[in-house]
Amino acid sequence: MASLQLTGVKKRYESVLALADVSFDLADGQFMALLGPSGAGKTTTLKSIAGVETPDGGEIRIGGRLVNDIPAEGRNTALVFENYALYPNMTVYGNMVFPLKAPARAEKFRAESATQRVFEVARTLGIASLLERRTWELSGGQRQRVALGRALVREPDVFLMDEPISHLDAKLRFEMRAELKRLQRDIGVTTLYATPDYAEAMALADVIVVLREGRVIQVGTPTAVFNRPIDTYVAHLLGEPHINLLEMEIQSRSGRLAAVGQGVEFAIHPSQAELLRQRVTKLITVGVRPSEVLVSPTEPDGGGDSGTVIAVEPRGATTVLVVRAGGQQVVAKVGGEQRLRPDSIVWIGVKPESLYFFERESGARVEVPHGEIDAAGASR
Amino acid sequence: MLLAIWLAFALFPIYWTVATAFKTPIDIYQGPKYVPFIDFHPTVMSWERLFGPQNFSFFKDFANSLLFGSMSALLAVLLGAFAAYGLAQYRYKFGFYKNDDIAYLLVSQRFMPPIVAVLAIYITYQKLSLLDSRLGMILAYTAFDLPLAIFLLRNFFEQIPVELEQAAAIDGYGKVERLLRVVFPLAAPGLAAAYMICFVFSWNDFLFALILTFDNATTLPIMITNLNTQMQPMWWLLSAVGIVVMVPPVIVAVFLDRYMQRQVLRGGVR
Repeated sequence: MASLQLTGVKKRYESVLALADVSFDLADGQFMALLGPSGAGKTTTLKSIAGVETPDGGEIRIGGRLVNDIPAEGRNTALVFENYALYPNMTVYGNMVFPLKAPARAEKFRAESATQRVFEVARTLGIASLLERRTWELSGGQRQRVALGRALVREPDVFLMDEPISHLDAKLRFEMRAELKRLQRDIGVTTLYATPDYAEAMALADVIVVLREGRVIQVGTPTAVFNRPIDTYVAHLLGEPHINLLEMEIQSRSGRLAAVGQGVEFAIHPSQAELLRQRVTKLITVGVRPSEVLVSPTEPDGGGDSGTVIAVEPRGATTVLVVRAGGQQVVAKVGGEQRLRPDSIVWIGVKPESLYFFERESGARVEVPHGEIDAAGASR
Repeated sequence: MLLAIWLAFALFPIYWTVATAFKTPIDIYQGPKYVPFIDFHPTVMSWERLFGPQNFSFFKDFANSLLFGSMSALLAVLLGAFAAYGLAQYRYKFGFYKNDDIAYLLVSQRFMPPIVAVLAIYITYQKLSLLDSRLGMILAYTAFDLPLAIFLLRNFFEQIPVELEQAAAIDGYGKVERLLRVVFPLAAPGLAAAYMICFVFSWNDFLFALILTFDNATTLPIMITNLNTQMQPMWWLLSAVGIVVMVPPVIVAVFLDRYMQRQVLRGGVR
């Protein structure tokens, strides 16, 4: 176990810039999620830490030790590959004992204790009965456990996981998510977990690092990143259905501020009004999460904007509605079964305190001064 | 039906050779005789001659053929595997030459008629005293097999997901160990096929042996030709030798077939 620091790590493949500037600190024993869509640089970051990719610049430190010039075999990391990368020429046991028989660890795990260690880990993962099997005889979930087991047996300084459960079916993914969380807590190993799925990142991690095109754009605890996204990109990445981003204008309505755009009007909460009043440009992007959109089939007392339902997606306990109001399209997530159907007329509204305001040009959130990153959760 | 016709064409010469090996000289020269015990009486005369006391060099040449075939194929596959791995996993650039160009350059050596190379090798070997030596023959065959082995193996190495070798690196293994313990075992079908092709090439080769050897390092093809030309054509004996010559490549093929059939990459990556 060890801490992990990346400082200005860069990597370019022929014509593609994979990592522009990746820096973050991961404390000993922490669970950090690298969140970003495919192509954001998650895999390259993990492989650079493991030592199978060589960054063009920047520093990587494991436990304070600069490892840039140490080859992969000398770093004592473990990486669970997205495609598992099991050795097809070995049995499950062969795969799991392989890291323990490596020259670097042969001293630490003498033959007998190596076998014992493999059995121990296999039992924890529930694959003790599969040890004699060949890799092609395993199901996807079993392969994933073997890959996990092969990573765990060695007691790594840093545990790296590259979308380890993204190819499992939904039910198994949910189970493994809980199991990974438990495992990480039990073992207490420093873990970096790459995923494109915000729910996975929020469920598992102590800290989330959001990557975009090879750059770290926000670091924070799951709730901080979710509730105080630094820009529209982060706001859009976290949350399902995605946050509504509406192009609006700040206008004064009988002394109070409101966001107005294409036939939709939202009142602005007094606590945010002061900041918005001082702005030079009145053009703004307003964000509102679908769960914060209020939908009623009749006109509410305070008034509101009427719109037409264009799609209804029942999800059991909740229903997702797509409403066209004026020139805007708003997605709402409402509780319970809805008797609404396409073409129904509804009134939409929002709680003023639930609105996010972003710069129209840069997408940066208005409340957060540029350059300040919320690192409240980065050290506990 | 077509297959049956083709099979008849393919197998008849082999049958004829086998039949001839059990005939007496008289039966051979009396025109076509096909069915043993009816057309002619089988004898083991040629076989007694082949394995008994003899005035020709069957055992020495057989051993030479076996030695050259197995050793040059082993060297070509071993050296070829490292070269092919390099071409598959690294990006090279020498001036205009990139990986594909290098691979093409290597294979292009096989476009050249071997006779062109043989004369140069002859002169070189004369200076190096490698003429008619076993070492010289192994080296010559290795050099000639190598391009084909590299070409063949490169494709196999390209099919191995790079993550498998990366996993071995992270698991704590150095470069050479990664190759020997993970990469090469996964290329087993390719290694087996390349070995087979290289073995058969040197086993069948006539030209190199004809020009570069004359006594010590002669091989079976040379011996067969000598049997034909130095004495009267002893078809019965030639046929017996012919059958013996067919056997080792078949054994090699049957043995290596197990490796070629295996689907080694199954179950490794998702």
